[in-house]
Amino acid sequence: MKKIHIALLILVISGIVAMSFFIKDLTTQETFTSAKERGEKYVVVKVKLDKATPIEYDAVKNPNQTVFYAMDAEGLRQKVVYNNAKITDMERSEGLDLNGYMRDGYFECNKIQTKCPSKYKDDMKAAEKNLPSATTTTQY
Amino acid sequence: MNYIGEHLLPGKLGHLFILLSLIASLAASVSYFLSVQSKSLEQQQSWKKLARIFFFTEVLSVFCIFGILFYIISNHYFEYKYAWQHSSKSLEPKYLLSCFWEGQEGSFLLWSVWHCVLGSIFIWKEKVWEGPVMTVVSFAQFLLATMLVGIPFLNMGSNPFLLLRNSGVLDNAPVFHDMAGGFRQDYLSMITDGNDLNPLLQNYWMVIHPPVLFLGFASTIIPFAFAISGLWTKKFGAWTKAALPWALFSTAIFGTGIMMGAAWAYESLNFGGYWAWDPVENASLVPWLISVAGLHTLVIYRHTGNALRTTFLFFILSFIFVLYSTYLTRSGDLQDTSVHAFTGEGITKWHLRIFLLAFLVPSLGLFFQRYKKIPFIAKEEEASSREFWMFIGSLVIFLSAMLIITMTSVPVFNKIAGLFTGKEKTFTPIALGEDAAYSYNQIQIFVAIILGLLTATGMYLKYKATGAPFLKKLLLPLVIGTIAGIAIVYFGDVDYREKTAGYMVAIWIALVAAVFSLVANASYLFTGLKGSMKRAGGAISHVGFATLLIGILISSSKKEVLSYNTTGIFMDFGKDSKEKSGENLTLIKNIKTDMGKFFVTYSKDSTHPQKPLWFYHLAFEAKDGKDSFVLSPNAFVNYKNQEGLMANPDAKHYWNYDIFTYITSLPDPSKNADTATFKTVQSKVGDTVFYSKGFAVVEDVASFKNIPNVPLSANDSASVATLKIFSKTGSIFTGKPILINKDGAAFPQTDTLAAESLVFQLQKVDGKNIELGIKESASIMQYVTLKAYKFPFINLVWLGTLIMVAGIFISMFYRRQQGRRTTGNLKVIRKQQEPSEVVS
Repeated sequence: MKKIHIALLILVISGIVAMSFFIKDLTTQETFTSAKERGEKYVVVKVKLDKATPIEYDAVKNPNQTVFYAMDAEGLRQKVVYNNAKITDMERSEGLDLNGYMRDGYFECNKIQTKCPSKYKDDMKAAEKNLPSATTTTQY
Repeated sequence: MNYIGEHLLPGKLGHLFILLSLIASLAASVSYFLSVQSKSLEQQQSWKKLARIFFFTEVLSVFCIFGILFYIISNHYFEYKYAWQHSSKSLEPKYLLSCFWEGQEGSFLLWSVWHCVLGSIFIWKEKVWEGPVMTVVSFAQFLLATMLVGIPFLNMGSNPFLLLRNSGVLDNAPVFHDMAGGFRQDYLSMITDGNDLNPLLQNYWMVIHPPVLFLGFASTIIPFAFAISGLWTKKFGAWTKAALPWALFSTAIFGTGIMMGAAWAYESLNFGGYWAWDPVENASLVPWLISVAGLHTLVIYRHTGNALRTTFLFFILSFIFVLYSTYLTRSGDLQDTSVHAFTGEGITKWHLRIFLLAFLVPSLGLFFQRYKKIPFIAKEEEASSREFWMFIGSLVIFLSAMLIITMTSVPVFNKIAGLFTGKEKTFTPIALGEDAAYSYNQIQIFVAIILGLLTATGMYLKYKATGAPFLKKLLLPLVIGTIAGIAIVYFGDVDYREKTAGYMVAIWIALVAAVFSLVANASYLFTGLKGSMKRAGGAISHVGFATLLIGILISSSKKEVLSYNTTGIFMDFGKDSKEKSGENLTLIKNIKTDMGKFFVTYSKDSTHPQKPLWFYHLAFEAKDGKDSFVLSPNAFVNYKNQEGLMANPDAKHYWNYDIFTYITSLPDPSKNADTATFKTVQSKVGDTVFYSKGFAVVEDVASFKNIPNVPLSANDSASVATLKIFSKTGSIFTGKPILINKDGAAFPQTDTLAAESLVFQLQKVDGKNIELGIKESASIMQYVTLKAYKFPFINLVWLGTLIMVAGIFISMFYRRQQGRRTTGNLKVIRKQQEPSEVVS
């Protein structure tokens, strides 16, 4: 066996070890119900913001807590506590990926990915609003 | 029908040139292909002549398209969707170019322009390899042109000269239509302004970063095309000499482009840093890493004749991964995980996938078909040889790139797995874990250690075999580097305790390795090269790499959060300590707030003359009184009907650290300004204090010694008053203002009752007698919520990048010179310079 083969072997093994570390860190996408079954495990839940209930965020009282309600893929509505400042364009989002833990009665998350705002498609929608028609739609 | 005010000529011309460039690039690739395949020299020459005519027609067309589009944007012809969507009249002229790269079409056009520039220089400089290389470049140009043609029924491409009235945007706006449902003749007079450039892109880095990065992307095609040429013409080794300067150029520019992106992210995004392992960043880093690996194996081959097969593979993969990245970032398949992935608007996913496959399949197919024929050296390398360890280093870089792209591709895996799962859900989609950045870091830290050690020692090894005397030169740098590294770790207090102890030790080792590498490469400039600048490129770029590595390690592991919240958490003394205090801090206007080593006062705000851009003036005062400065982070508020804010950070730069802050939240700006002041009331425990909407009872005054996040010495004290507030509405609240006496000064910490617009301040405590400040605000008060960080030694990151790039350029000029000299004395140096001929 050549030295280079030994080196390759070591590299491949360390690559596999590195990947296993990475895979160990991976989590799964769940719904609120299945997240509850998983107990204290860190999961991702894809939800839609419940726009009927206002988002609670008082920067003066506690700038690190945002409370809102959201519906998961199965339509289950759940209270969500986000330990950070309110994401500014949250109301406009089409969907949210909540990263966190299912607690007793609420979902606690430390990371949220919002879908779409400030991306081009939505820019177009927002831009359409800027057209003069936005104020004169009553003509119809 | 004619519409009033439309300028249709530029669009028609533009479309004509798009079609011309499509046809010309296809014709050029076919002609170049035939020029390589033809048997007779005469035919070869005539095909090549024809191909050049086609290629330069193509170049002319692409430049015309670019020029016409710029003309449309700069003249604000909003009848064109591209101008309307990406620009506005208020946009500063310097950002007009940025409008190009905001859209998909413009950025593909930019890519195409760089191919034209590189191709023209190539034809001018590299006569020998013109045929096969330009076949590949022209073919890529053809595929890029298909992105712009815009054939709606095939759903192919997106024409940048599309008229707004044909784009569908106006269809749902009745105001533009006449009674019959057609467009009004004067519809254009109602479109007074464009949609403007995304505010995040209104930054000077956005003018320069995309062109440089795209030049980097575009230039990877040259080494790729060289490799393909070598396989295709079966001159397996001959292309390497000409390819080396191009590969160096590509690596230098590509690296610069990536780091410019990092600088932009640092200055105008709210990652809280310059690198976040965001998929878009990874997607550009990975092909760059592979091209760095390819560069090293190419140098090995040039010197020893080893590693030719690997060089082929790396250069092919480097370009393939540029295309894969393009697919990842532009197809919208990454949307879930990235803060700034493009959607699939305009150019479709399938189009991008075909673009990738059109290069992936033939290039790898050719590689594996010819693999056995590629010459190699059967004899094993010496363990003391430079090429052996360089090769290991290249493999490590490649492995690191593969790990990064695997982790980045999680959404793609979900998509693929999703294809095979039917209605019954057997497969649960996966996602990155709790700390995605740490997932990357915990692996890449070991790559950093290995690369630090390899770059430190590599230069001291000789090709073929290294004798002991040469190794002795390494001894001094080793001793100095290790001592300096350990000193930095020890005195620099590099303690990163947020993760495991093993990770902290790994950071220490990586830092020592990086310092060792810096010292070793710097001293090699004098001991190994005797100060000869010409050949110093390698050592200089390794000095830069080591500096960059030191900068990354220190700035990330010693990053400090300054805005650890003390006001919000303060009230909840009972909360269990594992609760992480938040990084957001709210500053109420004109109230001096305690923030880490500083007191910060939000003093005033100002606005941009033309845009809804607000600047918040934050006065920082160091607690030791030695330093004071003002930072003005800004934010677009309710920009163009979009709710919320888009914040840009501001930073104070020192030579050894940056103070960095950005706004995370603002009150609704439509509310009135707060003009109220504190009214002081003398009271004691049991007293009742009145305010306009109710009264408050002082229930208790207590002192204590421990407050989270505030170290108190023996002479310091803190008092808290407990107030029960009874409002007229019948609600009962509790308020707990705090007074801290620290180092002889008093720091009142207010408590706010937002529901009652009340602010309490404990101003003085004397036993059970207190002075209580009450502020009633007619409106909700003005405040900003922000995050603030301290980044130590971030300048090393930028400095390291500059040195590294400079080093690569020095190598490039040296290699080009060498290339010229060898053609002069071809026979003499032939044996050393063309090892493949000897081997095969």
